[in-house]
Amino acid sequence: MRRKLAKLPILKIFTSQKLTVICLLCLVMLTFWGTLYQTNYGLWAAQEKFFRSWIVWMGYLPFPGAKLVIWVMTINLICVCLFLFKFKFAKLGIWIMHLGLLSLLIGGGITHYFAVESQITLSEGAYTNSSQSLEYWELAVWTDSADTKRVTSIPDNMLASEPSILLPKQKTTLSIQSYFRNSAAYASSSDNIKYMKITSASNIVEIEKRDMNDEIERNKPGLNATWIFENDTTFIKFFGGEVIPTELPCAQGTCKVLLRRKHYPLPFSVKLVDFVKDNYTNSDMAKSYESTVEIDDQGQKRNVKIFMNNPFRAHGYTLFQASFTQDADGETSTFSTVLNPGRLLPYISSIISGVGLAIHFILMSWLKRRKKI
Amino acid sequence: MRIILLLLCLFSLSFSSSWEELVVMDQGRNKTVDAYARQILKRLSGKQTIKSAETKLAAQTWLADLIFTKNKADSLPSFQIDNPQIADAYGINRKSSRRYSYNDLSPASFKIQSYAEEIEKKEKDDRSLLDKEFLRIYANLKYYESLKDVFKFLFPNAAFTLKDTVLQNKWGLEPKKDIYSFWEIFSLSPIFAKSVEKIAMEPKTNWGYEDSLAYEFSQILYEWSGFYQNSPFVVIPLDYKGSKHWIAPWDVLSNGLMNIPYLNSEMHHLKHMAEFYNQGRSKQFLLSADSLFQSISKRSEWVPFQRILTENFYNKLEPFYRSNLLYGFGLLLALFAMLRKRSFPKRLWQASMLLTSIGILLHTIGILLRMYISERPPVTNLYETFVFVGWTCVIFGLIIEYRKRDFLGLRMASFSGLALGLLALKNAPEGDTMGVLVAVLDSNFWLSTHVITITLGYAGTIGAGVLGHQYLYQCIVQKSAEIRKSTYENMMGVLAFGLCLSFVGTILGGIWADQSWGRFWGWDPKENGALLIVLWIAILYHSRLAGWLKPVGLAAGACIGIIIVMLAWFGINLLGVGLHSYGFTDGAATALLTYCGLQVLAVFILAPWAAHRVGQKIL
Repeated sequence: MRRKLAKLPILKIFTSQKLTVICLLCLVMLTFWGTLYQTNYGLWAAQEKFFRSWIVWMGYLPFPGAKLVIWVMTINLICVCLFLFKFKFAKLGIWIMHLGLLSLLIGGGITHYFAVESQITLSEGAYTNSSQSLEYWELAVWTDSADTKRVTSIPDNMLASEPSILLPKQKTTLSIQSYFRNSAAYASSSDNIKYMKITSASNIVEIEKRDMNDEIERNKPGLNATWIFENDTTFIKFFGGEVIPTELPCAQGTCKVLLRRKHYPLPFSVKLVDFVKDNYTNSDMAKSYESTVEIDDQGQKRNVKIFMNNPFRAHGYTLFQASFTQDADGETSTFSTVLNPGRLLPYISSIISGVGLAIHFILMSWLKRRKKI
Repeated sequence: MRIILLLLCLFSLSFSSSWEELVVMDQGRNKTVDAYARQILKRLSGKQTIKSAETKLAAQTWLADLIFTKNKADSLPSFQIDNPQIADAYGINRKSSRRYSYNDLSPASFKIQSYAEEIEKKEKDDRSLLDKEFLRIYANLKYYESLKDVFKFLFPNAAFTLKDTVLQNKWGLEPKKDIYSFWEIFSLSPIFAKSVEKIAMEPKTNWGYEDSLAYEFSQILYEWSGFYQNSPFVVIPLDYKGSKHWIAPWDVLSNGLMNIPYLNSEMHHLKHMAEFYNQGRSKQFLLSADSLFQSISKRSEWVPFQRILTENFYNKLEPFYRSNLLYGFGLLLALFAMLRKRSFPKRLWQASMLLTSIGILLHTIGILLRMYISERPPVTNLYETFVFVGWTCVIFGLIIEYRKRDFLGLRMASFSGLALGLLALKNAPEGDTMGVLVAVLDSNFWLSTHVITITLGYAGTIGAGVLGHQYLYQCIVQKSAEIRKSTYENMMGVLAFGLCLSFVGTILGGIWADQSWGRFWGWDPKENGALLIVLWIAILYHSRLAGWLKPVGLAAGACIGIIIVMLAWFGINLLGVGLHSYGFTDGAATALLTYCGLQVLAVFILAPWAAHRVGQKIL
């Protein structure tokens, strides 16, 4: 049955080892090219162009992107396992290794499609129960109440695509004139701003579109919009670099609105207790960075240490020591936060593949010796 | 192991002088004066010894000349300037030796400084290689000058002139001297403090002659103390209130630590060393150095002296330099054997095997010594990867030779040992090859798993490449099918080893990255480099299965594998981007590209030729 199916033209292509070689060659070229590309355009740009794309354009010529190549390789591998590999003792290692590789590719896919990377920056004594995206932004709208802060957030892809957004709770309509993923803002304290009825917490009068930066975290979006509440129309300009929210009229009286990095709620809160940078004796070179944080997990508090090669893991989230600042105002510590449902797959598949590879070569050499005898 | 190291250490002590055994804290780690001097001289002049008019001086002698005397070292060619354009820019005469003395450079010091200041205004990424060279020379000059001032407090200086014999007497200074040293005047600080306290509220016009002078001296002492902070030659360990530090002689004086008896006595030992050195009394100089060493070692049990002193033995043994020589001679003999066609040249085999074996023994001792001294696994920086990959290739070669006894493994062992050894010597980081590690690398677990595995993978792939060359050669000279088959099988075996280790090493690297940075794979250049090796070997194996590559083609592919390894290994570091760019080396890009070009050319010529000679197809 397997053999018969394998003779189907489409399966003939997908069980071909020549296809494997072509895919591997494409991947070699993409990896080499993408690595060189990083020197001029940075890691993020290279990832987008070569490794997260279906097609890479060389001028007008298309070349398969890593996403396409890896998909073809995965199908190729599945087909080979299903229709080509023989169930023989001698092939045991090959079987195990390729199954490991398959799970590695699946793990990579899960990470690519479902993993969420964000960051937390805290000064000593500060705490938070959310992390911030480096790549995505949102327009957050809230009203200050005594005990809770309920935030309505509009994601940046909506700001970029929708001409008008209705906020039912605030009984407000946001009409979007333009949204720039990267921009520069120019502020002025001149009085005519009030006259023009343009509102902004930082007195921004002009938002200018900029090319996307190679380092994603350096992009600062800009938004030109109109805030319509009942008969009151306000022209607003938001800039991603602002820290003070703009106050605007809404059904609740006054709403605070801020264009900020996308926030991800955490199932626990993190408080930075202490940050220590340990230098080598008589040197400015850092030997280690270590943050002591207090984790409040549903009322249960405990202190944990996060340092290089020693992250903190809870509820599927992992917090890593990423960077720090030390200045006259005190110390801040930055943690990379990752939520990856496929985190364990690379570990499992690596072990399977490594074992498979070892079994194969040991088996080969043993069988060869037996043959000689 | 410990007994061997103890014996080696004792052996090293037997021919070490007490001066070179003094321990210095430099760039975050302890080293002996000998190691310190070698590293500084290497950084400044590119060599570990220096030629004076009469003789060749050891680095430690150069250092003693520099710090203990006023200007004895200033005429020695301590600075390397390779680019003649730089000499022209400074307005100094070009020298064919490319080595310049402090006396040559000091008239241009203003220019050297102003060029450097201009370049420092540029963004780091915008600086050219020439800019970096200007900065390097400026930094070296500054460091040299700071070393010149290490014992400046001992030498009489015009800033401390006191001709008034009455005051000399009153303040307890050595009479009839007029010009005093910082140290002598600094010892009067309590007297000056009283005077300054007395006149603090008085208008200047009311100050007496003695008080004015005391005030003036206090000002100069204060300025000098500030200026000579962070002085190099940090030789005094200090366990102060449970906190352990290392301080320079200047710090002992300017931080008012002379009232601590042992520090006072150690400062006097240093003073005597300087006096005896200037008087040319070498025996007394060494005795003072020995007294200083004894005093420091008795009170500082927390300093691992035995470990630190082992570095002297390591430096004197020069294990990698000597093993390179032995591999070189071993290779010559193994190549010479190719001329003997009739019978197996047993004597040549024995001699070549002996030389290579002694070479690997020294090589192993060198690696073990480094592990003991630095308390780290064998591979922690680019230099050590060359040493370790070389070692692994030699071991591979010797194992093959032990099984086959046909010179194949011997040639592979001695050639790869020599080639990688030369690369290691060429690419040794400026000065210190055992420098401290950046925070993310400071994990002995991951260094000893991921890094060793991946370097073994490099070794396997390179070993297969060397055998690939051998196979092509055997095809060209039409060796028997049996010999070719044996080489081919060995090549594929070593390639399989390379694939396994590269794959496991890459995966382990992914796991380390997941532990440190939160992602298993990020397409970082170094990760891509490791992936390229795995992909390339996978291509070779799958092409064989697909029937696309025949043995000659596979041998050619294995040869190309060396290029892939070189690019992944240090080509990536030349790009200077990514999270792994901590081993960046300037100026090696041209050499690497030249090698890659030549290797591709050689494969394109050799592979069709070999295929033609044995009547085989490549594809």
